[in-house]
Amino acid sequence: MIPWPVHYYRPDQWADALDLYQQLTRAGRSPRYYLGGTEIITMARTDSQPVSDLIDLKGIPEIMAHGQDGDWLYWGAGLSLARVAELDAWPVLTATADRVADHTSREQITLGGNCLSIMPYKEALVPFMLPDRVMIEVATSQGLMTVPLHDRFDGSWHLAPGEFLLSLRVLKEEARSLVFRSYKMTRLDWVDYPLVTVVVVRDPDGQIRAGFSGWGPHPLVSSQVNALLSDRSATPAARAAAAIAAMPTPALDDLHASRAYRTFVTQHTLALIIRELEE
Amino acid sequence: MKTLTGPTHIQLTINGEPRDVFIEPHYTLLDLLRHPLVGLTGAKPGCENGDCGACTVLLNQKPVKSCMMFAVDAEGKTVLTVEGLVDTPVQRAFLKHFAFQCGYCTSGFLLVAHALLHEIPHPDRHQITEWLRSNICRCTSYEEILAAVHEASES
Repeated sequence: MIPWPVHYYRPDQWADALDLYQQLTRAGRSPRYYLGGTEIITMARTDSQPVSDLIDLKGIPEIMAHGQDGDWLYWGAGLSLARVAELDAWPVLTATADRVADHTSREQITLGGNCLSIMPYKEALVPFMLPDRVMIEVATSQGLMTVPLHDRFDGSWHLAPGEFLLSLRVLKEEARSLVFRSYKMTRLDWVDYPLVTVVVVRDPDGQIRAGFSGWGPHPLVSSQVNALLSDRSATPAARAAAAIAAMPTPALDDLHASRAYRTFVTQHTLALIIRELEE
Repeated sequence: MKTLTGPTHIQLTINGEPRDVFIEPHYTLLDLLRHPLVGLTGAKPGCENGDCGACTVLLNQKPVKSCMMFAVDAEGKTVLTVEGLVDTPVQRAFLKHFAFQCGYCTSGFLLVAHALLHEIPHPDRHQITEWLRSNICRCTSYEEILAAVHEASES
């Protein structure tokens, strides 16, 4: 629970949410947007900057929408991960989203909440980091903006105060053309934070792209790593070893796993995946 | 725009009964259910961190951890707590298999199993396991719980 009084607002339109955020901020309050609420409730007990106002975005139609818009598939940020998996519009997203937390929690955790989580994992974002063209729709003071994901996320999100994510979009043809594997590795139990989640896709030209969550302080994709993984002149094991050596940051070394173990598990899994994808 | 800046009443249906209840904006659904004015203590405060599942209830027939959800999000919806389960196949199977020891986690497991059988009447072992993984039994009655849910799915 949040152990202090808060005010609650549920705007029906994205513009109202933006206005409200600005008004509350100008009044010296600490508003926070929320969708599922799981992270806010969890963090409230230790939060050093307590939230004073909750702005519930679930009343905004666009944030709960999903479907196809021309050549694009889109998912509103307010869809629960369970709903995203149930829709199964993009199998690599289904497989990755369906391994976050546990079955019941996925009824509450939302796509947007996971992608913008303060936790380092953001697993549901990883599939979106792999195709050539991924767009996001952002509510801004200049209006709704549809921009490439990499304009606003490069390991950290770049959203101005008050801006929020409305939806994520991928090109249907490209999304459906990617063969994939998505593995979440945990230390002991099936339900746990990931040691590493590895999402690997192979495009129709045979090029491999890999995204990692849990390896470092934020999800990452590296063009150098992808080039090494795609080098079919080497064995899968050699390519995995080269890729691991070229990772832009060393693996985390924390309570979940030592750096050496995390590195070993990731390298082994990458080799396995490459073998599977190229069989 | 819906606004709550203090105690406010909301309407929802709890165990088949329409209710008009007062909430504070910061209340979780668990706070509301266990409040003396509502008095439904079947949903248990365990970890209150979304891990143990002892507070699980069904919201519009889907399992949710009531400690991880604001009460206001239940407005206009249907909540089922363990008090609303009466002589269901899964309850009978739990009794038959002694699928509990201390019983603290039992209401959460019952509701997850009830929701599972509603959504997938004849789940396979993998599906049962996947749903039940949301809950923890510190007494480790997992085999008995699994057997009970499996039997209920065949009834």
